Formats: sequence, structure tokens, C-alpha cells
Amino acid sequence: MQRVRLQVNGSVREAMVEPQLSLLRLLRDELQLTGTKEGCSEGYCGACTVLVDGEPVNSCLFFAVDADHKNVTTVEGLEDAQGRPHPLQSAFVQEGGLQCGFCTPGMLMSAVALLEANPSPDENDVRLAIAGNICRCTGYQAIVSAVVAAAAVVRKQDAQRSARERKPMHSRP
Amino acid sequence: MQYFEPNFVDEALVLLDRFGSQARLLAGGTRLAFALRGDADKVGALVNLKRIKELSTVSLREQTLYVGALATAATIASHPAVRRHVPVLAQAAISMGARQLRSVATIGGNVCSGDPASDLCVALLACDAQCEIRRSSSDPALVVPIEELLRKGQSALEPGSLLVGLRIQLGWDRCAYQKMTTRRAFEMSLVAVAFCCRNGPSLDQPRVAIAGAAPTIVRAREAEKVLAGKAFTLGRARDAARAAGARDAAPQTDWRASAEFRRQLVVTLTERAIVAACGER
Repeated sequence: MQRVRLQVNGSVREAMVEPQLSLLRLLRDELQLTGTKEGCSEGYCGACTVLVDGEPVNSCLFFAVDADHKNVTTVEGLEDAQGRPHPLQSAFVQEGGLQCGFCTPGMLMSAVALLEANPSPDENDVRLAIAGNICRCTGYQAIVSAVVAAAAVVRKQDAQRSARERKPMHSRP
Repeated sequence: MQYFEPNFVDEALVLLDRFGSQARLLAGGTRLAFALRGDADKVGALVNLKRIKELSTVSLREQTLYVGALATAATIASHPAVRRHVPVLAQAAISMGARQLRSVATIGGNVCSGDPASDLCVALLACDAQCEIRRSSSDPALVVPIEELLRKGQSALEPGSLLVGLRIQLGWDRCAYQKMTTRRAFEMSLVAVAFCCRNGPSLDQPRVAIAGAAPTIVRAREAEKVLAGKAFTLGRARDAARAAGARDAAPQTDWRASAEFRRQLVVTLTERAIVAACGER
């Protein structure tokens, strides 16, 4: 058994793992974070997508020992400090970007990674970003619309935040 | 199963020597994770290479691009030196799977796993890449042409040896990568073609590498003969592509595609690759 110590959604977690254990099994079975789903287990479907140091990976094919000293974000880590859902989560609800919901955690994580890299994605960018995520219900159009809508919300929030942060310096008498 | 994280190549070689065929090397792990399921009892040692810094290096050394075995597809796709000097490799890397795979899968894993349609291997074959292999801590690195490794398949790397990195001579600026898949993300190419030739007025040392045309990735030497030393024309590109389809390709039918469809893909993608690399920009 091998000791791993990683940060998951901002908290330091430790576990003893078999060397061949996947990050998916570590998250779901050891750390009880069952938001991340196991779909095909072969890296085709993307249901198990999580972020490792900000990069999306298929956690079913990612060795838990490789997550040692890494920063892992799962769908449980998307809400803010006040427990409000991430704009992407709200947009998925508003746009109807889910049917059975099994692919949703993975879709969300791929979308988070996209918005980090590209705050203003068009539909094509979104489709490329979720190319590794399969929706078995085939509700892609609503998912794509949700990500584009969420991007606008995130941009607005970021603009408001930076305006607030700038205010003291630029405030006029 | 014992687990090791060596810090140096020599340490890894000692472990490989000690455990022989019982050892498995862990690079990105996207293949190994799958292979180990249900088979973990048969593995004596898992040797994780992640701490060996030199294996992740991508650098220019005089007229050679060096790509460490642990460089990921994402790194290769975005690395300025790869994009500038061996663009065909960057193109192949960006075409690979989905982002979830590219951020983890390594070039060393691609070369060693014997995948008959590895995008990176097609590109590496087209630019005459050389594999740097270590067998023991006392021996110097062995340099083996990628073609030799691909021809032999997975067994080309004997137990106990470690692929350290790949060397590519610069000067393959005229190049292109073309592939056809049934699904963009994480699907093997039905056929993939990489074309490279040396810089110059005529088609100097043209290389056509194809996956999906034979059981392993192969050079289309008949197509290359049509091009070698000649000036580029659209007609010549078409003739070379036809030669590739008729004489170089020996495709097989499987559940993904029929042999006849693959043969047509070889012709179409070869022509597209040559034109993309050499045609008017």
C-alpha cells in the first residue's frame, strides 16, 4: 500500500492505496465523493472527468498515486464558499442541459476547464471542449447552450469583481 | 505488487533488471490502467517514472529536437519548439483523443504500447525519429530508428529496457498530418497519413507514413519514389497517392472499416497531406 496526500476541492486528504488504484476509485470509495461517475471505465465516455492541477483527466485511467501532492477538483468542489452553485451548474439547470444527468459531472468539469482557458467560447469551442464527454441521452444542444450562457455569466461576475477590486484606487471624491 | 518512484534513469534500470518481465513502467498510465485490471497479481513491481525529470524534457540540441519519453501529447501540441521545427508532430498530438487524454498520455507510452494507429508514431515515422533506449546503467544509450521499433511491434523493447526519449533532426518544415476517424475524440484512426520532406526547391527525401494500411504503421515507399527529387505538382501528388493506395497499402477489413474503404482513405488522405504540405499557401 502506498500513502497519497492530495488536495481535493481545497481540503488536504490522505489515504493508503494499492499502487494500481484509479483516482476514480479513490474519490468514490475512499473519499466518498460519489459525484464523479464511472461510465465506460475505458476513457471513452468522460463521465469520470475531474481536474488535476486544473487539467481535465479521465479519473478512471488516472493512477491515484499520480495524484499524490496534486490539486484535484471534482463536481463537489464547484459551488462557492456560500454554497451557491457554479454559474455552469445554474446554466445547466436553466437551459435543461441534462436528461438522466449521468454525464453531467464530467460535462461540467470539461466546461470548467474550457472557461478557465477561454472565457468567451463560441459553440464550436464548446463542442471541441466536450468532445471527450458522451451524453447517452444525446442532449448536446442544450449542454452547449448552457456552457455558452454560463460563460457570459462568469465574464460578468469577473468584470464586477475586478471593478470592485479597482474601486478604492479609482474612486473619485 | 511493489511500488517504486525512482528519481533517476539508472535507478529505474536497476529496478527493471531486478524484476525483469514482472515489472511495469508507469508513464501517463492511460494504457496501463486498463491493462492492469484483473492482472495486477501477475505484476511484481510498478515503476512510476514521474520523478525522473530528464524524461519530461523537450529541447533543441543543435540541429535536433529532443522529446523526453514522458512529454504528454498536450505538451507536444503546444510546445513552441515542436510547433516551429517539427509541426507534423504537434499536428498529430493535437489530433489525439480528447483533452482528458492529451493531458495525460505520453509520447513514450505511445511508442512502447504497440498501438497500430498511434497518431504520434505516424508523425515520428514520417520525420525519421530516432529512439534513445537504455538497457542498463553501465551501457550507453542505444539509438534505434523508430521504423525498426514499429516493425517489430511491442516486443521491440526487450524487458529491462527503457525508452528515454526521441530525437528528430530539424528541417522537416514541409509537412502535414491527415486522419479519418469515426469520432473525433478517443477513437483510433481508420487511416492516418503523415507527410514530410526536407526543405528545398524539389521534393527532397519525401516521407509518407501511414497507419491503417497494414498491421503496423508503415512507410509508403512506392509513393515516396514517385515524389523523390521532383518538383511538386498537383498531378504528382495524386500519382503518389494512387501509388500508396495501389502498391503500399495492404489494408484489412475489421469492424471499423472495410479494406476497400481504407484503401480509398489511403489515397485521399495521402494526396491531401502532400498538397497541404507543399501546395500554395
